[in-house]
Amino acid sequence: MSVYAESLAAIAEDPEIAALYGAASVGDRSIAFNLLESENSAGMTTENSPNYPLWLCFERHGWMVVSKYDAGEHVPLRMYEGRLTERGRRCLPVIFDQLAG
Amino acid sequence: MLRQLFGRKPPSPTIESKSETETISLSMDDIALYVKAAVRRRGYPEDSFDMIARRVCFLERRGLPGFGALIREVILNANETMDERVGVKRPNGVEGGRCPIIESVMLNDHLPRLAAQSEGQVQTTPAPSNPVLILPKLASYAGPKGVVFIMTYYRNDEETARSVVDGFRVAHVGSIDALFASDTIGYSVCPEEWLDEVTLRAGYVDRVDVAARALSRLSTFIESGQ
Repeated sequence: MSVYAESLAAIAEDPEIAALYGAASVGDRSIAFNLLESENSAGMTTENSPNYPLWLCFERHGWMVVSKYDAGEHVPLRMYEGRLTERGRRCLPVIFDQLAG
Repeated sequence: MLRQLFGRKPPSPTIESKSETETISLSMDDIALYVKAAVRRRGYPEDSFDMIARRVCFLERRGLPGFGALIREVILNANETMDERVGVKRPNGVEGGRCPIIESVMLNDHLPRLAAQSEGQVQTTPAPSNPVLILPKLASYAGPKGVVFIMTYYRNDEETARSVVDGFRVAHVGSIDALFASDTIGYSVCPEEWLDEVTLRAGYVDRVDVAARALSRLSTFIESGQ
């Protein structure tokens, strides 16, 4: 299956992708765009951010790896670090284009 | 004068003696300012300035000489009018060497067909000048369609280099000179199995060392149009 077909099928079969993407603000989404733009990049989010469930959804599809980030005891929020997988670097441009349309 | 034209003057190269090896470190914002000033002076449409600057920075962020190509493009072809830069044939009758920025716009109508080519098929065309400036356009189409393009560079019927591009990443293999001057370029779709053999890279460069002489020459062009 091509990257394009795989991405479209994921959107069709998992309505959470569009719902969680729609719940995120432009600013929230920009982090994932920045990850695509930059090599070896990591994004940060917190449990309360719309990005957290969105990134976990991306992780379920194999597009991202989300892991706990230890920001130190003086930071009261639970923080998570997100990194794109190779598949994510191919599929997410298709996903974002489809959902933006 | 520059301040009047652009609101903010590009950083001025304050170099008295510009040796062959002297360089000036520029941020992407600096490069974007120079590019916008240069294309304005060259006579590109105003609504294209940001787009051209983004494309040049796209290349520089990925370690490709977009700024050098742009400098060559505006200075070395200043003897042709922008109208003359559109056609595949040059005023002297030679095919190829047209403006790569305009070529990118004209490529719009052909990209769906190029992306639908079967594996191994290569669509060739006389190369525009500085063909590297086409890559960002290919990338902007490739990403949303999930395809990976190969742009192959030829000189005297010999393949000299290849650039592979997906939405946000580029890999270049072969001659760097090909990015500035080729006879022919070919567009093809990269087979998925080839991707194991190339290292596609997104942006990783934040600052670029630019030859002081080139920057000085560009500043002269921006100021005088020559």
